[in-house]
Amino acid sequence: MSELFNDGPIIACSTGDDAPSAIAVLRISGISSLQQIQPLIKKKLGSIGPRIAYLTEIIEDSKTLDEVLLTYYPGPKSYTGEEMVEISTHGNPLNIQRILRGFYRLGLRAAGPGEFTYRALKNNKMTLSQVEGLDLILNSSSYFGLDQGLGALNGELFKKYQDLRSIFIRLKSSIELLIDFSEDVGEEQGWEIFQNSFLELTRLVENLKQRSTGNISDLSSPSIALFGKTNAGKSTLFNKLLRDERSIVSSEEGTTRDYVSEVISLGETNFRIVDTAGVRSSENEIESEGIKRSLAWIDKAFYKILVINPFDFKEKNFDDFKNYSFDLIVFTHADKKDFIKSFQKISDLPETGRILIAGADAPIGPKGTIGPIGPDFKNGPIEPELLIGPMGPVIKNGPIEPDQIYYGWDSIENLTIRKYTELTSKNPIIIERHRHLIAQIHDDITKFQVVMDETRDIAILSSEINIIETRIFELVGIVKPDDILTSIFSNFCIGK
Amino acid sequence: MFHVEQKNMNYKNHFDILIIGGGHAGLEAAWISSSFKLKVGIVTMPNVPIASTPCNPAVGGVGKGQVVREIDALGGVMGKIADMSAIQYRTLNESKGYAVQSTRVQVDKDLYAENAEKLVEENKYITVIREPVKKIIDDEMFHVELSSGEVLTSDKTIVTTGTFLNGKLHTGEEQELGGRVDSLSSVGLEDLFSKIKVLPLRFKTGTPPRININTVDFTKMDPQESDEATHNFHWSHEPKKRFVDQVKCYLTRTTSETLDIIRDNKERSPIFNGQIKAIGPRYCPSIEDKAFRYPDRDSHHVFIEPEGLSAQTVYPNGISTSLPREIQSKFIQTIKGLEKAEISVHGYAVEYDVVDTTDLDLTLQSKAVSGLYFAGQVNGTSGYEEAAGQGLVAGMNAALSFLGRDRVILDRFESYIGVMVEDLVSQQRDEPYRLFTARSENRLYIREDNVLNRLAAYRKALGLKHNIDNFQANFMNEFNVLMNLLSSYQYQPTMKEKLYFEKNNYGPLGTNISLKELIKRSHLDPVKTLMTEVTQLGAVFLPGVIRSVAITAKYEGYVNRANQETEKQRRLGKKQLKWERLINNKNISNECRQRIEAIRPESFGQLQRIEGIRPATLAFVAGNIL
Repeated sequence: MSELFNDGPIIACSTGDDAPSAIAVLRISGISSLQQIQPLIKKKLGSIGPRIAYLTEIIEDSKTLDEVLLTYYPGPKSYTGEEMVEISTHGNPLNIQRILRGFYRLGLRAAGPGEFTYRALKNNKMTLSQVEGLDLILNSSSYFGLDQGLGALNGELFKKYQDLRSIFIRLKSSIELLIDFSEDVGEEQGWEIFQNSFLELTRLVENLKQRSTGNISDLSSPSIALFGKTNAGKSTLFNKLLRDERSIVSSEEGTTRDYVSEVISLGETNFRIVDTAGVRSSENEIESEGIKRSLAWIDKAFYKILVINPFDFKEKNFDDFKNYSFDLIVFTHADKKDFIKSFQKISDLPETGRILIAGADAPIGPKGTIGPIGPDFKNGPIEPELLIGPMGPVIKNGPIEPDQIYYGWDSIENLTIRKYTELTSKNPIIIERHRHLIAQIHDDITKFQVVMDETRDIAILSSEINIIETRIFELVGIVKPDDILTSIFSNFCIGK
Repeated sequence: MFHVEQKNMNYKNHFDILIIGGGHAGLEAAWISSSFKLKVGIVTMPNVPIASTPCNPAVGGVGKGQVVREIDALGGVMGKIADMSAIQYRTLNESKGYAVQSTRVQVDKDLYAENAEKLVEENKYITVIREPVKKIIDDEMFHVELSSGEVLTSDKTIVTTGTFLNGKLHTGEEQELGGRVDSLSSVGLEDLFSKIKVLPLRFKTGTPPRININTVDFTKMDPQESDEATHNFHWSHEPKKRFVDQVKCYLTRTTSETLDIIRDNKERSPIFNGQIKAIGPRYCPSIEDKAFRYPDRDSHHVFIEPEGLSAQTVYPNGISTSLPREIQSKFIQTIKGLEKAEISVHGYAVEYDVVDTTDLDLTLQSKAVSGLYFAGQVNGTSGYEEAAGQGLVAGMNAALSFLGRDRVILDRFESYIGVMVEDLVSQQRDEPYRLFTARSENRLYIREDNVLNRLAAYRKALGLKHNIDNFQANFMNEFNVLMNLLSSYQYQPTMKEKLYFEKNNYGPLGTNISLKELIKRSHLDPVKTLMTEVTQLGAVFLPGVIRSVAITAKYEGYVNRANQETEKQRRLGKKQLKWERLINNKNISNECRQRIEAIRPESFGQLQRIEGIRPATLAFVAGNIL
């Protein structure tokens, strides 16, 4: 049985108890009354008021353990909906441990991860969507994720979902009006409310749908992942981006056996940059496991870069990547002699939007050997100027246009930020479950329109609406029959 | 000493089942228990006829029409009396699809009571005692002391006292004790049974003034005719037979003047000046409520309903009020067509005590006092139909229990009565309860046409052998035969059939189609089409069977689709559980255990509907107990 189903009293240190700090906050939830924790508290708890901080002491066996600030949050108006107490103690981990143990002896149990929020959810203090917002706030590494978390918890997105809920209640109410109360309200008015609220619902869902289609990868904690054959130069690129020597660079094939990752800050966002294991057919078990894990990053990485050394290009080495598309393909060793020759031999690459050409430390050259390149619209200085002719055979989806070709390492950062800004400017919904549900609701509504064209049988319409309802529930929380009836009675004069 | 003496001395005064209250709940309780050939008594107030209709003169309505047919299918009597007393028929929601259609009839009030009295009189198992009850003692058996001092005893007692418990009437500043006008109120529940829990809040209901029919100008109102096609409620009545003459109802409206008068007299209104503290139903507001709650509206519908063929009064539906008499007289005359209206009986509000129904089980038996049942308005419901439905549930289960047989519980997925009873015993009421179709999770299935499909099995479980039981067995046989024929009968695309389809406007006939596929075509009326085809085939079926088969086929796909969505919930909800095991389980919080002990849920579905049960408890029970 999961501990989460056991709704006895719980306690936890909510501020992190692994490093000393000035203050730590202990949270208690689910006690049946304050008397349950009285043995450890000096102040008489019988007389304290709600939501007032009291200075008191933690006492065990008539010994003072700490001087603390205690606040009582009575249920059901507390965060979890249960009886809650917050105790601010001094933040030494030893001190926290000693106090916690005292409470364990009183029969409280250590809360599992997320258990306070779980209880808030279970006691209908929060909807699942709000909890997901909270999760974003606590765990995202971008301001965008933070903002959307706040939006889902109590802001813009929460309001959108609340709107969805109230429009849906109005739609259901209109059906009930038509069935149970058409003598009171009139048939015409009933149908009018039905049509209008359905239109409004469609508009709102359409809007949400637009914000939840398209590939958004993971905007809350985005990553840049480097892929490619072993020793193509991924680790060099990794270190260029990191500007230090985190990854071991060596010319022996297959050094990076598993993936290596670091966090870099670009603009206002933290990106995890991931140097995946090189791909090559390997009998070595550990290595192929590493390769498998590298491939997993293809699905979740925000910015996917394929790194190719044109001097060591064999088509079969890219079989693993063929069916994926990349944000960028980087050709390394551009500073080497005969780069262009090797480069132009390459054909049938995975899909990509852009190409970047770069050499190790030396400037890219030689100048003027490849052909005209048009006006200077590139990011970053091109030094020396490199001209490339038509790329004909390289890309399977037709030649790459000159403006899709970039030079120099710095461009990678700019390209990543550009993609991130483009995607976040549309304020997409990034919580996967919401995207999925919104798509389903959108689908259901389209199907419902077909039913509406076929029949005016209100019982059938109502039954189909109930099917949509189960999904809307999952997004906005449960709508009870009483919510519908209350909406009817407060908006319409019922009772002939 | 006293009661032993009484028992020995007067065996005649002992009843198997004694019913306190002779309203709609009481009558159904008595009727169904008498069909088990038990000795049944009804104790009722003097001067009040059996099954009187003190408020609106109508039976049925949306959802309620289904209830009346459910009562009829189980062997109750409301549908029969309603048909025999009906002076106007209507099919509500006629244009909105068969599933939401409901029957409502206006009844002649005097005729209704007369028919009820006659049926009871002819029933040799029922005795009517017309005397107020002084007290009831529960001591091995029930001892009911009447005001004369006489004591009746019984094995089972069903309390159906309506608004009479501590009833208090209000008309403006005037207050008097009573359950309705011209009747005394009974004593309070706590006087009758110290162990019975009463809701802390009293309920309130109201009724409009009755108007002298000769002072109404009907020419200024819109008439509404009786519908000849609406089917009777009772199974053995010819569907379209009419027992008495049919009359019109009329529609008129209040004016802004009406509402001005009411708004000017707010301080004289008992519900707004604090004189009435009880809670009235939101779905049945008084005209004062309407005036103050919807300040933007300047007009409301008023339905003028005749109270009988020879009655001298009409019932103005929509203007229930407890304002002082002179204000009632004044605002009435501002309504179109009522400019010269005279009031015969003034409107009033009544406050009354209500039993805490969470203290009852699914047979409506008290958990505190075994053998004691409660049904009707005393349980905080409103409406004759709701009362009658509960009376039937309590009556048949009291009888089954008396006979030592298994109880019969109606499933909420199969009947509105089942929805109502489960709602009542699972949640404490905070306003009078009325059935809305929205309260059912299974509205597409709980229809009027298929009442026998839904309830014949329950009637069968009563183990009775009456005419109705033969009828139902026969009906279900015919239903199954025709349902099979629907799938097996095929139209082949021959020239002759194609012409036939064209003639009847049935649409194209390309490949073989079944009779079922034909009647489901969206441009066809399934009932009429099946009627035509059955006649064409030379087959003979009961009209009710054809109707039910056609509508069942029409909705089959939708019902299945909806069922798929709710199936899991439903399967889980139906699972039985032992509440005794839950209240000793340490994994369930104290608070939840207390609630479980108070409600004593019998299924997981009921546990789910208990207010304040934590989802953690539900998850635990679902994962570990079931």
